[in-house]
Amino acid sequence: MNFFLQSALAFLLLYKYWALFLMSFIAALALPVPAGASLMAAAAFASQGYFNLPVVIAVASLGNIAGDNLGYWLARKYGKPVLIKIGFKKIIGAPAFDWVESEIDKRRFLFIFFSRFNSISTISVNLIAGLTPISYKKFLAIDIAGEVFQVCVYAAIGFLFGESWPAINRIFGQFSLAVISAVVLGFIFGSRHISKKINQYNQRHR
Amino acid sequence: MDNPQPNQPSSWVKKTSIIIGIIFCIFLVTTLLATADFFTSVRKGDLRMRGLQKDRTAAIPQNIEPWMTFDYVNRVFGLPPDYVKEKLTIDDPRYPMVEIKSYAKKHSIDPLEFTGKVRETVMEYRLP
Repeated sequence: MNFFLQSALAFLLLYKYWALFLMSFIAALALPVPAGASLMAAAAFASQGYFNLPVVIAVASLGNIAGDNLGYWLARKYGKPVLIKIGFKKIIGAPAFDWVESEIDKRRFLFIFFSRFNSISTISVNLIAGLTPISYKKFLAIDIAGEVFQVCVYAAIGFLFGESWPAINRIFGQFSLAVISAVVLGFIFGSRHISKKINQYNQRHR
Repeated sequence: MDNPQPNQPSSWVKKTSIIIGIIFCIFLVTTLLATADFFTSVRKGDLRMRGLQKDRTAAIPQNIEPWMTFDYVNRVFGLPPDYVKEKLTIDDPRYPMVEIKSYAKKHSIDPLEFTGKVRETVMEYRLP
């Protein structure tokens, strides 16, 4: 177990539900905090009687949802001006960006719901959702559903495996890296198809 | 008559092939490691669903770690609140809401050695 995770667990044991809320909130906002592992640990501690499982699920969900919403609103209010200022004007105005916006809007449920399972995809989708025309009501509804589901899955694993949670967390992390590599490979092999779709989109919207 | 030069792969195709190769290796290695780790953990009994066992609170003293607090140890092992405090003569006002490691460092004790003493103290309490 690395030093970072050990410190997070000590923080969790000292400050309990406040610590869980804070870590979930900060991780959803973009900082590298082991919120998933801490959630699994909190659920494992609940199986030992040290925490209350429904409270763990409620607090972690609230923390995640609050962080996601703050990320969405920061992107909505300041996203484009900041990106243009730091030199991303060409990307914002590029046809590929318009195509990405339209694809996310068409498949908003899939993108928002399933991105909750990984911190990098969560942060990316929160930012893109804030930059695109996805309405806040729709984003909030899908975000709540996705976060509660994700928290329940992690909490169930932690609660069921109890003291064995570090082994499960380690294997989860290894499989996540394999999945991310597979997705990147998929994008590379699908890049020609994606370019075709971008060109078709541009021709329809000229 | 000159023989035509065989088509050389462009540098872009070479670079892309190398990147694809590296990512594929990462995918293969991580999948194999994760699968091996999974089966090793199953064989060692690390992946038992302890949460489904009847006595879910039957924690193992050997699993006490330096990052744990005395409060957590007391509650999970069913110890009287001041048992560890008296046995190890702990005089920290933060007790029991203090990490084992933090207490050890404050009193210039090796954290791992002190954690071992906490484990022994818990095991003594559990002896019939």
